[in-house]
Amino acid sequence: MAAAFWTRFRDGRGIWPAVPAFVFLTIFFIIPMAVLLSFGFTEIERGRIQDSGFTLRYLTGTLQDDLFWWVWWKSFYIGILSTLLCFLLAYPLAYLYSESGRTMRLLILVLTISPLLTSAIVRTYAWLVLLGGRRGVVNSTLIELGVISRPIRMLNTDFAVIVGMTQVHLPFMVLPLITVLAARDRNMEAASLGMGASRLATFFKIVLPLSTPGIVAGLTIVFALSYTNFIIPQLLGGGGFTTLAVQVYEQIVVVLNWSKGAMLALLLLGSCFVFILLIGLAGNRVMRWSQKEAA
Amino acid sequence: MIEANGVNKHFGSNHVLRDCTISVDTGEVVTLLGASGCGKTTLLRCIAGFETPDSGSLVLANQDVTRLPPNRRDVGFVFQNYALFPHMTVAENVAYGLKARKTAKETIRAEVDKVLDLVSLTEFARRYPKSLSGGQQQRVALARSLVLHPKVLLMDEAFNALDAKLRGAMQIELRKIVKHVGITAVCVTHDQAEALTISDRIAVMAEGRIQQFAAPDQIYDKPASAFVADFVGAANILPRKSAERFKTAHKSLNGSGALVIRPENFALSPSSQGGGVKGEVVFARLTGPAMEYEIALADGTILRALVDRDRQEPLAVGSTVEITIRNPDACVPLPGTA
Amino acid sequence: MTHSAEIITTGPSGTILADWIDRVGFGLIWALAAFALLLLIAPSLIVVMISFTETAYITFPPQGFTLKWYADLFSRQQIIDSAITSLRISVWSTAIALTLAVPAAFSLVRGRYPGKAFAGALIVAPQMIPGMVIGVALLFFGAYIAFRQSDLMLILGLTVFCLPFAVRLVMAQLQLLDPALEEASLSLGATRKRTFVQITLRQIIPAIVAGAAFVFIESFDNLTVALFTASPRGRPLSVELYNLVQYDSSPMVAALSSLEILFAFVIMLVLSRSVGLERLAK
Repeated sequence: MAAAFWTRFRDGRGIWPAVPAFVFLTIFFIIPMAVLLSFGFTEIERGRIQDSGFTLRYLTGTLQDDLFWWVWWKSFYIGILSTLLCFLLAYPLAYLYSESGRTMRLLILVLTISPLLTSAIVRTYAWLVLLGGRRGVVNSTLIELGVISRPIRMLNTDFAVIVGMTQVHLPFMVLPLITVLAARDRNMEAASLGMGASRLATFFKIVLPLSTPGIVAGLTIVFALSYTNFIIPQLLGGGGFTTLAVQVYEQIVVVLNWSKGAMLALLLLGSCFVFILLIGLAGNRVMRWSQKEAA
Repeated sequence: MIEANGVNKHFGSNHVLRDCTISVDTGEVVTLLGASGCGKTTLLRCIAGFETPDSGSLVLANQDVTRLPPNRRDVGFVFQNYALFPHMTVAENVAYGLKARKTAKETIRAEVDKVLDLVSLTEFARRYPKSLSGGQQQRVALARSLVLHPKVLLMDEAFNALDAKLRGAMQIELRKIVKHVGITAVCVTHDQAEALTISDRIAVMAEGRIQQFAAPDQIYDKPASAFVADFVGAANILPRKSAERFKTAHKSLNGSGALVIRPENFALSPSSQGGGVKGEVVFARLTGPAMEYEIALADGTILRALVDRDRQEPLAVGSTVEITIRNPDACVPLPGTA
Repeated sequence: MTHSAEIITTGPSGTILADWIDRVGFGLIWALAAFALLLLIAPSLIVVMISFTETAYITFPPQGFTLKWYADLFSRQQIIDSAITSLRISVWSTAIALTLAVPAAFSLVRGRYPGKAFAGALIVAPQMIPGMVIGVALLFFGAYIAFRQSDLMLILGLTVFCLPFAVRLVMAQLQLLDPALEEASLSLGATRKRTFVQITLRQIIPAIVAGAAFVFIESFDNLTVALFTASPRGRPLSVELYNLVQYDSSPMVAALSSLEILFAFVIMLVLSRSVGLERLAK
């Protein structure tokens, strides 16, 4: 038996080598996800099942709550805005990478990958320092330059959260764009320039549309990360600031209303998938030339 | 040395090898020649043991190896892209098989030196494959197989990755090395020039079948089928009706369905001296020592003719010519219609 | 005639304005790129600089130079304990994730069986789920079977979270592997075992190293899974740091962050040596 398993493993054929991973994921991922789903539809208070009957109370209650929709809107607009900002900064950087020589490429890669290896808290902490109060770097610089006379409140605002998310998630946008842009066929640009288009027109009409797969990948990842991030809003948004993801955390860890927390987590996950799907569909629409036959 | 008897192989519903029977003598170089997808590589991989035939048997040096795994057959294999181990130096690549056989260290060193000398790569022993040219990599792949003194050397499109000029030189080089070592070799290629250069015998394959297995001159001069005639060298395959218009062809046609006439077997005369078939030059091309023409006959048939330049001044496109057959005996009759 | 004249006339007349717009436009693009680069590096640099300040509060530019915040850091038993906890947890989740990932990757790349696509989707599925949801789900599951928040629960959660990365890295490398290399080894007389160890495994070692580094780093840094699954006693460093960032305004936090940045840099050096950064970018 052991020998047979070893042979299968070595040849890598058959399903057996993947079975341990399946078993592991089933026990510690699939079943827990099912439990999470069930918790959204049962009465659970402080980790104890109160009444094992099925209830839609949390679903309908949440959806009828104006506060929920307000919080949802906030999460959505923070997510979208920081994703778009990310794109606006990442695309030029990825383009610069694709146009650069070895040294510059290495520098960009190091600067892009190293934040990924540092924890999100460390990177968010930097923004506390930069934006924080009177002694914050931005405020003190602006005062010294005479741009402003009194410190502006920067921390604990939407602005702080959006800036923080943009910076923390920037690498996730840059990497897929680099992959697509560095591998692109430059003859297309030469052809465009040869036909008399300006460099800028070539950039917007040739380079940009042809990099759609990378753009879709980047937007998807960054939106999903921003939309579900609860650490940056908590650290940079202050006590009153809340998003759907923050609500999940608070309901489960602070309020200990697990049913509500589970329902919010499910709604967060579901709406996130819907948005990602929409981004993908939009990408397909832009990329309709890549489909073999027009419908 | 190698006997394949009625080998059949399916991939799914695809019947890749159909009753392939071939026998290779000791010290002989044989080429499996055919277009891509004809089954030549599959047959070679069956001999190497990478594939197992569905039916039929394989005998290497009087031993039935049909079910033997590749590492227990005494066979050297040179891969299309050489499959050199990128993480090992040239010397380590060559020594790999000897180490697997638990050969003594000193013997390994001596053997590696000897074979690297044979392929003139001694000074590259410490380099990694990536830093070598295509031709050098191919010689490493060859040395790696030869150092084990296998009974049989198998080569899968071994010249494919080389540029055209180097390819010709390497083919000659390879034939010299193989003949010097005296090893039995089976090569696979889709390139007829390569097959003609390196082989003692050629097996032309199509649709999983061996169409003809003979010496290169036999394949060229006496093709067994229209396919072989067309695949090896250029050929005009004239159906009976067209062929009959050439008076001299009657004898060779001898009741068969079609006639193969090589382009160089036509003579073109610009004036009408009688006795030939009239045609118009529609295309002319310089191939180096000869001119190649496409000539349209009255019935629309296009003939291809090759005329040495020292035999005749080039003919202009549009000129009318009379075509005759130079050597009727060199025409090959084929049964049925082409 | 008219055709060629057209080309000549439209050329220069459009050129001056178009050139100017081109220059401004690309100037803007390069400026954004430069700003993005600055944005990537500046915050980390500022944190490192602040960690050397002599003031008892965070200020920029830092005043003076001192290592006292680093000394302070190492004098706090709680921080040292949580760092050790984090290291122990990371080692375990890395070991488990790779033990599961390498064979699974082999099966997913080389296996031929019905439902392989589904199997592949299942194994990379956790990547689609935010760490928070994975953590919450595990916490709730634990509540069912009286399995409390603990180091073990955290290790399991991190393994689920990181498994897709490891599987995908090894799969990518296996897909690149030329099957002819293994056939070559066999035809040179090597046994299957020798071929597996010396050729197959040897070739995917870079991916295994990269996978291990990623899983280790992610496990060490992770907060989203840890906040829900870590034991309330003996918290990992990430949770400890999360609390410090919120409630402690001394530059000691900057010192701790600087050490993490240094740690990340070292790991990156190791990775660039073993795998190459270009490959990592994918």
